[in-house]
Amino acid sequence: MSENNLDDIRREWQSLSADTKKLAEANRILVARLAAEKATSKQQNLRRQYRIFAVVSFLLLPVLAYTGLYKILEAPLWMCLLYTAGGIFFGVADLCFVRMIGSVDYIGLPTCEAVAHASRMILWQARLRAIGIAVAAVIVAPLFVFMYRMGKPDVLIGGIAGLVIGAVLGTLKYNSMRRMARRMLADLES
Amino acid sequence: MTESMARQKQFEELLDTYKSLIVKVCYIYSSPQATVDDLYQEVAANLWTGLSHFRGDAKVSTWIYRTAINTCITWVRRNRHASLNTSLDGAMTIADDTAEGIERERRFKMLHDMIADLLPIEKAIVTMWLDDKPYSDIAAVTGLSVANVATRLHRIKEKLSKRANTQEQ
Repeated sequence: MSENNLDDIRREWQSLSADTKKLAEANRILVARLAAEKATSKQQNLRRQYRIFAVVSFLLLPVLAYTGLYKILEAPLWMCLLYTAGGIFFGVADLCFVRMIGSVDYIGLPTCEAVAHASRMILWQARLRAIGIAVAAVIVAPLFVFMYRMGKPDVLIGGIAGLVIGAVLGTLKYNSMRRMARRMLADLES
Repeated sequence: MTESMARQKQFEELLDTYKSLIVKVCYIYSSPQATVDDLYQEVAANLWTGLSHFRGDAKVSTWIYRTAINTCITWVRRNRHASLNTSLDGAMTIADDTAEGIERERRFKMLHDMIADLLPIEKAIVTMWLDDKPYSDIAAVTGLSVANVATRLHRIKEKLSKRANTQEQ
């Protein structure tokens, strides 16, 4: 496709029009849902979702640690506290993310700025994932050892396998997110 | 007519007027992870939210381009919205049954595949260029200078030509 062909395809592109019948129906449904406030933007959804994650992290991990580990399995108290600390870490991380999403109006900004903000957020999220995996490893490792001592070696083997697989997949995802974000930022800086 | 009904009517008219523009942007940014359907709904939701803040400082089309492009760029797959009853994946009449229509579809598919690898800003520039928008409009949407838009567009065209040649070989 030479530059002339690009110009040809551009002319054809301009002559394209949307399928009026299909879109009229879709628009009617969409506008009704939006007016009834049943459809919200992804940014709003994401904030709501991470707020729920934060509450779950703050409440669920300590409660599970106390009832499941401390009361039922009679694990040491420090392990229970470790889980509580983990819950607080993940909860705070989720709240930071909520704040970060809400601090910028991605839609109203010039596209370059929106891309720059989005890239920084991807980088931040990638770092947080890497730290999250390390924190998760630190808080679950003692549980595996504890279960091993209770005569359940399968849990230790399964746990180690899960940690290794999780770490590999997490690292791959971290690297791809970081590469993509850096590429976008480098392009903007150029 | 109540205020909310008037707003609804105004929005319906806006979507109707700019539907081709929005669908074209969604088509350019669509991928297996983000269908035209998903993107169109998200753009509409953001236009609806932004409508009350739009003061008319910029041209309506510039505002719509910016909202549509930024929405597509920052789109992330999380929970799906309740889906529309109408699929929009064929919302543009690209092909008909004639040999010419099939050839045109093939060429647009090729264009889409070549554009798919471009960076988000490059896609924004090429989308508006395809629609014959002046450099000043592209600059207003992207936040780049007019000179920068021209330089980038020149590079993008070279890149696309090279990719097309590789694909044809």
